[in-house]
Amino acid sequence: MTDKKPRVDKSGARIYKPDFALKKKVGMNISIAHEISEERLAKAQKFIDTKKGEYNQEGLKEVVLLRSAFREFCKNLDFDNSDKRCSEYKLVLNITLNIKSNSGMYDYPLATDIAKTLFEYMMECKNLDQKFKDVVNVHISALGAIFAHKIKDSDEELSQKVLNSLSEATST
Amino acid sequence: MVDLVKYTLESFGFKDVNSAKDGSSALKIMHSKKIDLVITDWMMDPMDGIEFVKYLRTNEESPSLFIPIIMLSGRAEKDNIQIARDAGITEFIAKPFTVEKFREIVISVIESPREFVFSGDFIGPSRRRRTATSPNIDDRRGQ
Repeated sequence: MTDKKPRVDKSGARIYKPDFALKKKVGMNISIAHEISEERLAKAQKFIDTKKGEYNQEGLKEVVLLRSAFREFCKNLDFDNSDKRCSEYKLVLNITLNIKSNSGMYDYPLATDIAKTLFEYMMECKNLDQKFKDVVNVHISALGAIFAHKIKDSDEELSQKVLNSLSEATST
Repeated sequence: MVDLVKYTLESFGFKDVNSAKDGSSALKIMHSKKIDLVITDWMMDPMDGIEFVKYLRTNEESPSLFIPIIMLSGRAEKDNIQIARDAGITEFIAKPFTVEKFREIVISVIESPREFVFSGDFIGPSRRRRTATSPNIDDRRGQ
């Protein structure tokens, strides 16, 4: 990757100039910007647009996974097996973050917001008590309702009901 | 998301796009064939994206110390991006992303690669703004 003689800066760090290996592989006289044309961008965008129409099904599957992972995590809360708990908690966080990212990509902004709130809540929560379980479960149910009814944003009547139930659960 | 990224890269014209479910699986692929570019998520299990990047940059058995690494993650807060940069990524794309942004970053990795730094506590692409640009190319031609 590098040229053989690095320069050394004041802190003693060795700094190598890049050798443009990837560029050489593509072709030095070829413009990547030109190669990745509007047509190619449109092709990729078309794939995303198709997925948008189908994502609610995938979203529902992810919610089922999330519910199952959280249930598994809750089973072990009373046991002193921090490695297992940690690994299971990571899985719950992982799935939540996936839902957040995918919902953003496929045009479910309300699901993105709820998944984000859930993720932040789980990252910050120190008391893994019944309230914690209730709050997480309500969020999971809300996500399920969103995908089951294809609720895109918060202006819809159904979405208001979802948000109200969340608000009620998190305030008690 | 893996399918989406793979499809996007193939739409861009990339050949032989491999995918792996986590860092350990990716390393197996990288030990078996020459890989030119890595795009990784953060949240993976058992080996997450940060561990994977650090392995590539610092482990003696790394299959490719200098390989360009793009991290694609929903953990796009400033602190997290800093963590990823300190681990040794080349570029960061926040999820959700647009195909335009993805294209922009891929182009920059190829056309304007970063200098590579070996210092006491950091090994990886320079975390400063890039200065090198590809010689022998007129990017205006592509616009």
